Amino acid sequence: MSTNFSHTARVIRADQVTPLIKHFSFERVDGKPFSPFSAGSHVVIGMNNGTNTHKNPYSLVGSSNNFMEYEIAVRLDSTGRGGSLFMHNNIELGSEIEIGNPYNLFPVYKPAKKHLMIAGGVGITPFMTYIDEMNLMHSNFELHYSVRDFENGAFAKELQDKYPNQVNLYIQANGVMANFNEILDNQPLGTHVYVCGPQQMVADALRIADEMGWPNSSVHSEEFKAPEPGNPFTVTLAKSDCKINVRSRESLLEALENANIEIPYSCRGGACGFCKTEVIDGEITHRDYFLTDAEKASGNCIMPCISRAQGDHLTLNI
Amino acid sequence: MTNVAFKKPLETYREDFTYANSEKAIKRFPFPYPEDQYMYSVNMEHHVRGETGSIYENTFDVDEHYLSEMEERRIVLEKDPDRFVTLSHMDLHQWDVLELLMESFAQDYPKYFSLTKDGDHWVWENHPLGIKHSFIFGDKSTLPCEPAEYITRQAQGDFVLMDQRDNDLYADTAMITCAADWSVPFDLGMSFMEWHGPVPLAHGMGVFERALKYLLMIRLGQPVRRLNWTLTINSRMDTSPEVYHEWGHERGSITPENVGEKIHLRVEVQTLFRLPRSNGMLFGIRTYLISMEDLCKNPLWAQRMHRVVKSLHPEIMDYKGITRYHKTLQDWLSQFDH
Repeated sequence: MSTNFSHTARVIRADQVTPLIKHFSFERVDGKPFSPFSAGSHVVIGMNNGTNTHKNPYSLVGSSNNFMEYEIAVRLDSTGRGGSLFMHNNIELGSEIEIGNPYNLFPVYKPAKKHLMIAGGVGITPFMTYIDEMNLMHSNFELHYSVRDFENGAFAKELQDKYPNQVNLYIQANGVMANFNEILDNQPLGTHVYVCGPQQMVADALRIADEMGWPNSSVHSEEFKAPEPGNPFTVTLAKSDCKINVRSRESLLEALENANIEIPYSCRGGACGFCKTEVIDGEITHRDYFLTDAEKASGNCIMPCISRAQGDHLTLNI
Repeated sequence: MTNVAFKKPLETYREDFTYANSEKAIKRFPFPYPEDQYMYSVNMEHHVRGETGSIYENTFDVDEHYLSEMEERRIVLEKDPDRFVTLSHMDLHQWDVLELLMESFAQDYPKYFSLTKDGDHWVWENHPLGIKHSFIFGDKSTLPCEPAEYITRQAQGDFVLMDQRDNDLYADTAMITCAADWSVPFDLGMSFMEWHGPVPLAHGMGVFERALKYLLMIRLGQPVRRLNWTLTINSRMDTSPEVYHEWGHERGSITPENVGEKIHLRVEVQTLFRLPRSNGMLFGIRTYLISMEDLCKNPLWAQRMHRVVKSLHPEIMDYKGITRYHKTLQDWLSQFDH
């Protein structure tokens, strides 16, 4: 599974929907439709800033029934490695980017009797396609969406207008906070809960669900995160006998790609397992969700999309 | 463009067993053994297009037996409608499969199948079966039956639609009329491990753990395939437990005189496709039958068949129901291996 499928696509709409979130629509440059996709899917967007290529995963937010366009929403992260900043400042109408085939690490649990969604901030994005599918399938659903203030609630008005009985909005600036104990209480048997949002919110919701006795198998959260910057290091490739420098704002995977070494990937956030690579030498700072504790302790493999060297070097068996 | 010489009159897979392979069909038969000895393995490869005329030329193979096999499916379903079963959360998967099969057929065999789309208004034409139907994609009431049943009544091979959840695959919809001795109403809703429970040896070898991990990561547009095999007496497609009384006793009918004609190598080309709308998986089981007589026209196949049969592990032999006639078959095949 080494091929990372992608299409060249062009921006056909770019709207600043909140001060921090920009909403993009793309069409394929070859005029063909994109593939249909399942609710909760993400795509990897590849953007070239002239010197190298950034690749970030984003949830698809558009209708799962219009394949002429793919839509994503990008939150500006000024402390990140520059991908979202580039999307906000440099990607405009007519810009061309690379867009990969959809992959789903946060799928709807189809046999659930009821779907309970808990979103915070930009964590609303995967639920845009959830709600679309649930509406289509006439499923029983409920959304609890927390935002800092109304101005920062992407898609909040549109969701409230369309689904007044199912959407509950919590505007923190008005002192309205979501109470997870209340939300999770008294749900019918067969309910599945999905959580996506800031790390602390997800952790709180999962902890409360656990304390209330929800079975783990009925609680789902979007787990992948963006790679964080770190110290620069050197990586030696044992098989191809070469050395590559990984800069501080670059992931190991990106550094390998910029040296034209192709590694299979999907989520680029430490969750899917595609990019697992064997390590021969060097200490690793593991940041992924994929490897087991035993694998992490063994120190002989790394998820280069998100993890880095602890010291100044790593040797990979590629 | 692929041309298919559909067999007429229709062949039978029961009673008088008129099923037979043409020279062309023999030549393209998917002989399944890479070595002289057979053992379970995770023998999966990418389902990429093969050379013209081969069974891998197209995404789904339509061959000379198409009309006969579809009639056999109709007969089985008429006697036992439970050979198509589905659970209620499988609607999206069903539409996914209908779309995948219709699009693949129309693209690969434009002479025989066509699909016209105007938004959700679709028109499907199947010339060999004389079908023309307009329907609304996503609206079940515009089809005569469930979407997966509708399209798999027009596609050779068995089909299982799997839902992916809890890092597992569940067999939640199935059209199974040519089962190699397994029961779909019994297995419906089972997880991957439960479903493969009866297979000997492979569990201890870790084959299913590795296979499941691989399958869960199959991506859109990158299907995979593997071959599986067993032996069947007569050209009988429906060897399901539901009708064991019709075929079980035939294992006792093998004599040195009738081996070549009666024993058939039964090969399943199993394909796995990620389904886009449902995030589920299609598991296609396309069955090919060939008599020992026809198989042994190829000296390399004949020699290898002998060696595989001779060295077969007793537990696999038992599981595949070969034990009773194993010696007779091995003796007969030995004439091709000097």
